[in-house]
Amino acid sequence: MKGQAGRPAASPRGRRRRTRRQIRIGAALLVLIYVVGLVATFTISSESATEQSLTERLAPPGRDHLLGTDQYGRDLLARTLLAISVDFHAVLLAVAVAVVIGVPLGVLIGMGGPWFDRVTMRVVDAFLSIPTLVVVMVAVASLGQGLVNTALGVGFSFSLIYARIARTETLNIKNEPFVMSARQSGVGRARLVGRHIMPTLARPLIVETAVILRAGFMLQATLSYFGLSVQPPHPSLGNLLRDAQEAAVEAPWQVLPAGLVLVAIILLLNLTSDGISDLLAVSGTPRRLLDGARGRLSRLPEVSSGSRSLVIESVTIQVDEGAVVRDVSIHLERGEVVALVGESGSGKTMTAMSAAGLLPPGAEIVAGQVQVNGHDLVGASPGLMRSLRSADVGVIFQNPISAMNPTWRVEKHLTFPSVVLRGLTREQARQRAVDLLGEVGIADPEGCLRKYPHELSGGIAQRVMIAAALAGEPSVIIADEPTSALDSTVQVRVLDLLLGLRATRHFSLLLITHSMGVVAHAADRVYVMYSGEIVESGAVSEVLGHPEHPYTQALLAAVPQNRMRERELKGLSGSVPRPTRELPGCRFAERCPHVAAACTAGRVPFVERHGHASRCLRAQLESDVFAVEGRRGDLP
Amino acid sequence: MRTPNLVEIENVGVRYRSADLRLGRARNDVWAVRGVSLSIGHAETLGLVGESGSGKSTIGQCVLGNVRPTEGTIRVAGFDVGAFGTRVPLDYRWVAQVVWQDPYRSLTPGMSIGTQIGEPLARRRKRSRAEVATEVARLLEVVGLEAEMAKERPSRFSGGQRQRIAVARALAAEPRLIVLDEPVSALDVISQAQLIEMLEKVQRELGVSYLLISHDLAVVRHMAHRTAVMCRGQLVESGTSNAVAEMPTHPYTRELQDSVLDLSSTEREARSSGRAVPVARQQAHTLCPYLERCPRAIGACERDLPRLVQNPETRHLTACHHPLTSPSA
Ligand SMILES: Nc1ncnc2c1ncn2[C@@H]1O[C@H](COP(=O)(O)OP(=O)(O)OP(=O)(O)O)[C@@H](O)[C@H]1O
Ligand code: SF4
Ligand code: SF4
Ligand SMILES: [Mg+2]
Repeated sequence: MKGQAGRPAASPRGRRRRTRRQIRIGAALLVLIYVVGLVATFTISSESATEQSLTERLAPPGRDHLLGTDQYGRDLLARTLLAISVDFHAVLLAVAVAVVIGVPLGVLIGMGGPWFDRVTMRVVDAFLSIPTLVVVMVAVASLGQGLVNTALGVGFSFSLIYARIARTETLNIKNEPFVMSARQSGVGRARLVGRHIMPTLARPLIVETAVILRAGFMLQATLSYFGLSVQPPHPSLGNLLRDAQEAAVEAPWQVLPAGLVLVAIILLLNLTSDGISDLLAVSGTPRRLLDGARGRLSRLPEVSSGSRSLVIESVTIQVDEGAVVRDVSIHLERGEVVALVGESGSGKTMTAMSAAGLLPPGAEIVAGQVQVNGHDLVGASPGLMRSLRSADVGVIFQNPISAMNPTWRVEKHLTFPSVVLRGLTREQARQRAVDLLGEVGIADPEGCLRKYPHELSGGIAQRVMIAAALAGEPSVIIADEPTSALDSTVQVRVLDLLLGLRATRHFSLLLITHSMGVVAHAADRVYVMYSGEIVESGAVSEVLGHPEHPYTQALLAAVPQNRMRERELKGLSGSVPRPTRELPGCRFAERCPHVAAACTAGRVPFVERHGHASRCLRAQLESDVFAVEGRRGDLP
Repeated sequence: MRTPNLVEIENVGVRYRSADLRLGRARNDVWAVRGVSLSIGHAETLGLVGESGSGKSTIGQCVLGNVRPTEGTIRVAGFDVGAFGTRVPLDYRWVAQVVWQDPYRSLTPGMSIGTQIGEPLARRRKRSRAEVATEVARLLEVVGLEAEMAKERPSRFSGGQRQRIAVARALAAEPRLIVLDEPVSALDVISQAQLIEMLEKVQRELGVSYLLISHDLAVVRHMAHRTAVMCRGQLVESGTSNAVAEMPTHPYTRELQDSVLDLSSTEREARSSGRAVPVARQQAHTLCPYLERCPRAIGACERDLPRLVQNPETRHLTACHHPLTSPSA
């Protein structure tokens, strides 16, 4: 296992960079082809490409005709070059028509009421079921042949695809808080649609456009091949292919120029569209939840790992702008509950996700070690990573409903991994799901299995998530703010459920939270994070009872105390410096009430005494004084 | 004319129609809220607490005019809000504004925050671009952000900063009332404390009223002058925040209190009942909404709906047949 700890072969950041390059290259070459075609239309006279010359029929490539001539004696190179821009224009026109009709139509349908939506979507679906070729035939029959008319037909047909996507997305976002807030601020309907809704649709539409362009080129070639679009003798790729086919017996090479150009365009579009959908794919939790499910897994052989189920050792995690987690070390003993607290943006989630192999795209472990049950995670093969992730580490996300696939019932969320990963039959998997739901305290497991995520209340959804995390019988569970989205009564129940399960199933629990109350209630030990660093750690009673670091003290002072009489909340001013910012000394210095010159002079060490450690010069100084005077803990 | 109360909610009930459009299916209508009466004074904060699904947000939506009550009346600053049609009159947007819970989803991505804050300004009165920009800068300062931030997009702000931006946008409409629907529950404690301080300062300076919806009793205790407790669509207790927090008389309020995890909760025993939770609940609103879970239920609870009556000892209103009497320890 050791020795692999260097840079992982395919780091997520490298992958993203490669994807971007892939898109850039693909798009650049496509533009190049188009520009060549465009230049050709201005430099090559259309007569030279259309005038027939029977004396020069099927001339082989040579000095006069670089690619030879076709069966009518026309220069093949000139015809191919001229064809390029013709096809590009036809496809672009069709897509433009599709976007201009489809997107507003879809948004309109999405913004209408449920009845309007049902009726219009039926109509759209009915039209969508008609093959594009048929739609084009109708367009040609009523408008006549020609490039513009077929492009209109294709555009209309494609517009329904856009309408469908735009409608789904609109339905998704029209009840988003940002749309409701804009409406609340008195924003009118037109501006609401134009400025707030439409721009957010861009992402899925761009992904779709790359796919539609590819279909457009194929269709355009087909249409002119059948003489419906560009009319002979004018060149287009489809026309050239048909001419080549007619002459195939005498001169089989004739198919090559147009054929190769078409293949090149399609391949480049594939490259670009794959890249785009990779890059823009919502890298949200639903996919992550099931990430482990892309192949069978076998349980890993046991490696002796001592008493620690999770060890994060001096880990530094980097994103494009710099380090977001700096030299962090955390460990979990078997069966232990460890809390990780800190303000938002302090790097809690990044740290925890590194242990689950679930770092978001663009983030990468650049130094340090992560071990789960003795297995190295840094530099692990994707296969090992998957097994670790789905069998040894269970993850519970903060917002359970958005971590689920909205189109799947609870049943599928719970049975899919067992069926795919463990090879259980559907019946077995279902039984297991029922058992798990019972175990997490859901009264009617059968009924719950039939529900969709949006039909669940927050508390129930979180229980389902816990059941899903338990399915792999993990030895470590990472719970990222499992209760912040829940209200207090449910919070306590969910926490107690987790603690109870830990007792029966013996996993260790890494609990990420910003609530000191949750820490006090649930954890054995706690790590406090600030701006990418651990600033204090120790047993909960120690850290909460005698906080050493001024930041921990501020955190405790800011907790609104329910049972205490009126008391000022002592908020810190300012905010956490971004972890990526390089600072000379203590990262808390600019907000610290006790800051001294020495604090910003150099990196403050993390010093441990009796299991309680902190990163503060003042605390270290004070405790030295105490130690000298023998006042701390030594006196009776 | 200045009435003693800015908001008067009387006997409001809201029935949601089930969204099932399939023909021949029995309608599964639910009363999300029933028989609720509340009032909010000028420059006052009313806290509305309860579990999720208890109807807190529904009351908020009614006050904003976005949900029409099925029964009862709502008056805000002279507007008969309950009688609005499907469109809320633009004038009313300048009376009541809102800040939602989720700071990460309540701003339009990709649009500069200055533009978003400026939208109500531009709409309300014809103003030049420069005037709007000055006003946006002023608002950003009111909520404790820097004026230069106006050009930035939401993605570069932290959760706490985004909530401040949302408050600035609400203030741009110069409202008399702001509905704060779980404004701090997605924030960490320090951002929470900062936002609460800022909201209190704004109230002192501008005299706006808040309807503070929250499941966090500690936050409500800190901010609200009066607190009302809702349980499954009904009001079960209301009074000054101190009285409700220190001497809860309704068993449900007591449970809410006990479930707050504060720093004293080091004991590790499971406090929840451990009973399995039902997936969906139906509420008829003919009996006490807390009956199923109540440890103090007596015979009368199975027969009649308890009415809100003033507790002689604590002087706040409680709807319970068998209320707690002695102050909670
Ligand atoms: N648009 C709707 N259609 C149908 N039912 C709804 C709708 N909105 C809310 N409900 C239901 O009304 C009840 C009250 O909901 P409301 O959102 O007011 O609760 P809440 O106390 O604000 O809860 P939370 O803290 O989760 O936001 C719930 O049972 C909920 O399922
Ligand atoms: S090292 Fe100095 S600046 Fe940093 S927390 Fe300690 S006293 Fe404050
Ligand atoms: S009315 Fe009865 S059931 Fe309801 S809270 Fe009071 S004692 Fe409990
Ligand atoms: Mg709510």
